[in-house]
Amino acid sequence: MNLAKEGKISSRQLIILLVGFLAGSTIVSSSSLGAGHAAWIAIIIGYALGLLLVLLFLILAARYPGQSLFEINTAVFGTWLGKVISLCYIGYFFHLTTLVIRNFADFFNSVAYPETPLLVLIVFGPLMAAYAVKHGLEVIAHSATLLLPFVYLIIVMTFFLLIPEMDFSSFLPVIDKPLRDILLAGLNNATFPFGESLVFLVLIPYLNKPQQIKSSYFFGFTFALFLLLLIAIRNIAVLGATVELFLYPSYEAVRMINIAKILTRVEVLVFGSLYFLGFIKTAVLYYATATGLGKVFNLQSYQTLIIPLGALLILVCKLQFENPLETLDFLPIYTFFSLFFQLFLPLLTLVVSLVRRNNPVKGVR
Amino acid sequence: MAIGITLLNFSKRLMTESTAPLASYLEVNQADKTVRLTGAATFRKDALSGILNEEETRGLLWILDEIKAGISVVSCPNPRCSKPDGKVSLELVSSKSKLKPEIKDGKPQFQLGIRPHVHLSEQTCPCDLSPSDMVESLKKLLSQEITQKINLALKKAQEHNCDIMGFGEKINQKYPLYWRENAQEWGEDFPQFPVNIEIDVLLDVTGMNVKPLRSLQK
Repeated sequence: MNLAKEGKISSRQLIILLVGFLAGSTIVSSSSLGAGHAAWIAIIIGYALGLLLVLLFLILAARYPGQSLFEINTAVFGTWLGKVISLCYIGYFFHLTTLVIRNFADFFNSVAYPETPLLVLIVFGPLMAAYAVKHGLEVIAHSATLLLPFVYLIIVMTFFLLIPEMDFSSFLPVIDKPLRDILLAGLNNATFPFGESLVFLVLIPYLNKPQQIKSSYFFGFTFALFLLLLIAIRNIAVLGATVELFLYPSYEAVRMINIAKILTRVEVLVFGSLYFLGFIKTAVLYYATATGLGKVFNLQSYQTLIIPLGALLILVCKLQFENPLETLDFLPIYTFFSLFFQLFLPLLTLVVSLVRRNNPVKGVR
Repeated sequence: MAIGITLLNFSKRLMTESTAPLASYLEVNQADKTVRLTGAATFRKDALSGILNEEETRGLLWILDEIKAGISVVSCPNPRCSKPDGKVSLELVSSKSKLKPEIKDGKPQFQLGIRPHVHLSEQTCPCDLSPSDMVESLKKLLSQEITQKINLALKKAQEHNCDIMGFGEKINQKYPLYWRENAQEWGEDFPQFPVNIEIDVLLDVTGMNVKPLRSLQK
């Protein structure tokens, strides 16, 4: 692989990518279903559990400095088994990309373009991301740097515009659901979105200061936590108990903006801009999938993979669900499905690496 | 006087354990084919349970802190006035109501504090309202009138056996443990409990005329 051509990103850009990635699809659909008005607690639990997962990732990464997830697999399991495990991860990233694209396409289909065929909306997801992936990680990072402040601003703005509609007594009593439901929602939050940051282990070789990855992860997680909390608090304060009824609570809440009957119907503009976050998440995952496949099959460059991958993404995206409700059904399964990749595989890799005591620094390339 | 209810508000109320949803009540006059907003419809679960008239609706709005502007008419406070049925209009500028639940000796009770801010805007009696005791009695008359309407609303809620004021939800928010034990009871029957009403009127603008217009002869 020609790393020099692909460029390097700074730790600040990594933070920005992480925030955009974590806030990504969570902004559109809720990840705290079942927690009711205690969703904010579930998010904090998810953040804490997510940090534990990250601790695992970082311990693993620290044993093989400067190496990506796929290289670590090869170093730990040997060439062939390592490649099989890498392919498992790549399959997961690929699937996650289709979920993100599908989520946004479903959202736009339900909300803004009910007459447009879903396929048309699905095609635009990979199309934008493919262009960014073709130009490398640096371009993705730069576009995220440009777009994220804008999105952050919009979310803070909607919060303040909605203050007249807010009723903070909706948060009382603090806990009126069984603790089990809240913990389960917390686990949901840990795997979606926090644990998904596993994909950033793929980007380690492209960091100009790999030793700063710890603080980048921490700050990225914390900024994303603020964003997610702001959104959860806004939605619950505006919608109250009805927050559980909606597939897209953020949309329903933002719709309520009504400043003197002049500033209304801002929701489409707002969500148009939130599409940027979907773009960041899609692009990062797409990039990880493409470069990963390139590594596993020892290709000179991952560029040739972009278009066939995009075609596959569109296909899987369209075929895996018939409607948004099936996506919702998949969510509880997804929690445990993704724990296999976010917890079990990294843990297995770490244990095997400790048992085999292979010289990590030398590694296998 | 009618109640402004959005679909969101209706859904929120329906989703609680005890609070009764409300809707605006329209009356159609068959004779001249006109429609009037005349009050509020109350629901028990999702079925219509009764109608509040204008006065009761107004009382309910005071409890729910939904009154933000309006005019209250009270009778002229001076008994020495030549016209016995003189009225004074007080224009409501803003108002804040606070409903606080309390558990006393294992029984719930409520403190309702209301702070209406009014301007003196009109009088139809020819007497001089400038002495400060007149202003005080105006405030008292307004408090009485608000209290009376609130009591009408509370009485109607008991009659229809539904919690239109959201008392149950208030208890749930402040005393969730008490609520868990007693929620069943509320579902069956809306219990009776004391509501202490405290009204603190602020009357700070009295217009530009100090005395009413009248001819100077004695």
